[in-house]
This record gives sequence, C-alpha cells and structure tokens, in this order.
Amino acid sequence: MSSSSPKGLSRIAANRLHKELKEWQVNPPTGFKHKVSDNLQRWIVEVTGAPNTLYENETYYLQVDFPENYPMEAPQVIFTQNPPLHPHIYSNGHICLDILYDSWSPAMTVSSICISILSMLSSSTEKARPVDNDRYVRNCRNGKSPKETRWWFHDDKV
Amino acid sequence: MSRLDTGISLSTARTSRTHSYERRNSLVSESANAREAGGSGNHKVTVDVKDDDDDVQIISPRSVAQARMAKRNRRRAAAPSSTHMDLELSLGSSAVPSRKASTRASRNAVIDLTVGNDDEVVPLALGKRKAPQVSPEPSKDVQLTCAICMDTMKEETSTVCGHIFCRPCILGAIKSQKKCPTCRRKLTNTNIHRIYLSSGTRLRSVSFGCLFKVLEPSDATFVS
Ligand SMILES: [Zn+2]
Ligand SMILES: [Zn+2]
Repeated sequence: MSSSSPKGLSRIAANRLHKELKEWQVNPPTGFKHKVSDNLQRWIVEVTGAPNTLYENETYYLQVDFPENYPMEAPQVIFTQNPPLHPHIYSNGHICLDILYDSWSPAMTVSSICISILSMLSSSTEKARPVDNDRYVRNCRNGKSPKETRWWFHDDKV
Repeated sequence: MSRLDTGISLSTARTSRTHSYERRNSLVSESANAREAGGSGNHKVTVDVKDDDDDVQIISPRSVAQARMAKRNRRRAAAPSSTHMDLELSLGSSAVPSRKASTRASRNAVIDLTVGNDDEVVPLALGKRKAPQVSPEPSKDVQLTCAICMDTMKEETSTVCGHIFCRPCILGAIKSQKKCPTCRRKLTNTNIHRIYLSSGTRLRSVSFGCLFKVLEPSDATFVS
C-alpha cells in the first residue's frame, strides 16, 4: 500500500471511473468480478484462474487503488490475501508487469489491466515465487507501494 | 533501488531492460488495450486517421455502412420519385448519399456546394415534382469517444501520429508522459493540432447531376 496518504479523486478521475465501472457492468472481462462497494477509489476485483491453466478454478483478489490524477497516472494494482504463486508475483502481492508502471498509458483501463494479469497467469509454466522474492519483500516491509519500485522488465520474446 | 519517476523515463527504462524482473504480456496487453479503446461501445464511430501532418483524412466506416443502408432504403421507399434527391453529406449523420444513387438523379441537377447554415437545406432544382422530404434526424455532429476520459470528445485534437483525443486530455497526457497514449510515440505540445469535425464545417446540402462526382463519405477531407 502506498506510504503517501491518498488524495481524493479529481473530477476527471471520478468521471472516468464512473464510465469504466458502467462499462464493466455491461461487459466485464472474462474471469473477473468487481466486488461492489461505495469506494470508487479502491476496487476489489475477484480473479478466477482460467480453465486449463495452472490456476484453474483458483480465486484471487486484486486491489486497485486509483491516484488523484488517474488516468494520467497508473493505478496501484496488487494481489491481496494469498497472492498466486507465480514467477512475477511477489509474496506481498506486488506484480511485476510493465503496464502497471513505466508502460502505463491513460488509454488503458482496469479492464485491460485485468486481461493482462490473467494472461500473465495463464502463460505461467510453474507455480513459483520470483527468485529474488525474499529480498524484494524485505525491502518493501515498511509498506512501500510497488509503484515506488524501480522495475526492470525483460523482454520475454528474447 | 531508487524511486521511479512516474513514467516519464519510459523509453529509457524500456530500452535498458537489463535484469531481474521479467517483462511479460505487454503485447497481449497492448492489443487488449486497443480492443478496449476501439471497441468498447458498439455505437461508436471508428475513425481511421492517416499519418499525415497536414492533411488528416477521416474515414468513417459507419458512414459508409449508412450510405449503403440509405441507398437500400431509398431504392425501396423513394422509388417513384427517384428524380429527386435531397442529400446531406456529413460524417456520422444519417442520410448519406451513395455514388450509385447519384447517377439515378435527373441530368438537370445542379450542384450546390455552399455551406448552409444549420437549418437551411438548399432545395433541389431537379424535377417538377417535389421530393418527399427525406427528413434526416436533426444532424448530429460526429460523436467520437476519447480514449482518455472515455467521454464524448471535446475540442477534438489530433496528434501527429493521427490519434484523436480531447484537447485537455491529450495535453494532460503529454504533460505526464510525453507520449501518445495510443501508440506511445514521443510527443510534445507542438505535436498536436486541433481538428474541426463539427457541423459548421461540413457540406450541408448537395444537389447533383451526372456530371459531378459525388463526395463519398470516405472522400471527405479535413484540413486543420
Ligand atoms: Zn477526453
Ligand atoms: Zn499515436
């Protein structure tokens, strides 16, 4: 969770989130459920592992926190409770996925993030923590946001 | 490890991917995102803008589809008085003429390319009989949705890469990320220009004959 105290959403951010929520209700991404709440600034999203993947039928929870100037800035997305065992997901719930950080674009949405996360899960070939999990989690102990991490991203195509 | 300065150092970060945390799925996510951005509503006009700094050509498949539809309807409904055409060219609006339909108009037709004011429809000097008033919906302006605010586009503004957003939205995006939200091209405030798609600039009403090539919706060219 972010160490800085969260500011309220700007009018622009609130408008856009209302639109996203409305769109989500009509057309939710497959495998995801938005847990209804009054809090527009924090979404809790339930993820179900896709059929024929290592995470088939398993349920996980994402917590999505929106910054004041969303969508210019990326939301903070982490797994809560028991994060899936995955080579890009740390045991503290942080996710190493470039679109959540450097590669964020204001044209992306919660829905497109969810699709990316599910596809990241689905493409996994082993249920394991990242190799540097312990060191990373130790570093984040004082409640650092993953957005404060300096991430390096491999290009998986290489 | 130091802090990440929000996204601005994107290109450096991406080109210097070196070690540890792997990058996955960015292709998947980008295409997913494209789907999100482009196809989130089935009523939205798809606008395809060519990459050209000065001339922006707007092609609206919906208008083309409507033209086909209009043609079909016209043939069915207005067959007895096919010498009369009251046509309106506008993007995204109803009653778009097709080239085929135009050739069926009388050969005395005149072409009037004046831009009328909004409620003036230039009458046709085609035949003796008055055409049944094909009354199109009060013409709506092009309805585009901005991928940033997901709202109806305000002050349509194109980037040099041809992506259209609200002016305030793209300015905000450039301020925070210095790149195009859709294609990630590097952008500065001078790489965008306002485009005008509203009723004030469109061809209001056209009568025509066999001599004239009728503008298809896809021929409409907007110069900023
Ligand atoms: Zn906008
Ligand atoms: Zn672009």
